Formats: sequence, C-alpha cells, structure tokens
Amino acid sequence: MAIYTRSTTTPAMLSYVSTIQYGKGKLVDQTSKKFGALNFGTIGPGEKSKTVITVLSFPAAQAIKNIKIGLVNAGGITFANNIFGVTFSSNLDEFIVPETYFQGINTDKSSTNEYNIAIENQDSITSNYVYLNIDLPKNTQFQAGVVRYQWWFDYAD
Amino acid sequence: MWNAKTRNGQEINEKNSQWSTISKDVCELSLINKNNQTISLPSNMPEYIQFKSASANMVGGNVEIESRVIGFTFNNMIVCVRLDEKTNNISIEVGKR
Repeated sequence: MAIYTRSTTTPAMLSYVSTIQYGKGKLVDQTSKKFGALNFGTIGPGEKSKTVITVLSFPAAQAIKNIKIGLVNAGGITFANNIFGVTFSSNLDEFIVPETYFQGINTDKSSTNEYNIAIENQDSITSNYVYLNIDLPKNTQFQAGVVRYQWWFDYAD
Repeated sequence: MWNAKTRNGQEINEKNSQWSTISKDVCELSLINKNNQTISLPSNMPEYIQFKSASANMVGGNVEIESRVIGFTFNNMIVCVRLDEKTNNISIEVGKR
C-alpha cells in the first residue's frame, strides 16, 4: 500500500510519498513513517483538508479484485453526507480534489456494507489511486488522526 | 485452508503450495474449517478456482482473511462455496462465467 499526501491549500506538489507492501498477509516493507492513521493535517471549522492519496497494492497476490474502501470511523465528527470526500483515478494527479462523498459510515466493518466505495484496478495487483479529504462543517472541531478507513478485496495467490 | 488433489495424484494444500502453480491440474478441491470439517466440491470438474476475501486496516498493517472461497465451472456457470473464517458459516454463490 502506498500513501501519497499533498496539500490542496498550498501549490500542488507531492509533499510526501511512502510505499508499503504486504506479503503473505503481513506488512513486509514499510518505508513510510507515516503509516497509520491518514494524516489530513490541521483543519479548522469550515475548512477543507489537504487531500490524501492512497493506493492498495498487494504484491503477494497473483490478482486482486472487487476492491472497496469504507469509512469506518468518523473520528468524532457528526456524520453528514458532504464531509468525507472520496474519489478515485487511474492517474496520480496531485490536482484532483474529491467532489463526491461517503454517504455513510461502515459501522459493521463488513465488505458488503452499502456505504463502501468500489474501486477499480489499475493493474492486476494494484487499485486505482483513491483521493480522500475532509470538508469540515463550520461548527465542528476535528482531532487529526482519528478518522479511519478500511480496504476490502478478493485475492488469489 | 484449501486442500487439492492433482491429476497425477499429488495431494497439496494451502500451506505447501501456491495455487497458481497447480490450478490447471486440480481434479479435487476442498476446504477445511476451524473445526476440521471438510467441505468438498465434486471431483473432475472442468476448472477449479479459489480465492480469499480480505480486509486491510490502514492503521494496523495486517491483511486479515475474512473468508475463503473455492469453486468450479460447469456449463458456463461458476459455483462457489464461501467459508466465513470467523463464524464458520458456509454460503453458496452461483454466477455466470
């Protein structure tokens, strides 16, 4: 899994790149010190966060399919359907800003949850790039690092 | 865990072989659940498949296998048996190839 982070509020440059690989069900290569909760930075009430780009890659598999991503914890933010931005692209484009949103929280953490977003492949073992951000309501405070997302996928090894 | 038998009589399983290296030679395929119960597919079907459904939490770093699936093709259909790793529940999924 690789995570790319950039800021949408400052001129677009990939400000951070990390590569994380799984093998046989375990993390085998973690070159990222940012691995963990996605870092959306500091967001004030009424502000839009920087966009975090994440991609699922599973080199231990021959193929991955049926890839989905879900919002599993809103980090204390009262959910509304115009806060947690998500979109995806086969291109790594630092200018993309999500204009669609998660429509609910996957509270049961299941692959079949209706609020998961299906993500297409960019190759046999890699998902498209997923772009995530947070559009914070004016009356809401945000504690960075507690929003959680999760991947689901089928794989053959 | 899946268990397979190839046309030359070799018995192999998930722990000692990669599916991609033997998939075309499989003539028997089964799954064993946590209680050591076996779910077997019909023998000598034209083609067998297996895959796993998994989740990955961005925080923990581990891939968790949620269910294992084995199946076969028959008359342009795919018939699969899914075994839930947590509950041991079994479901059958049928679809067009």
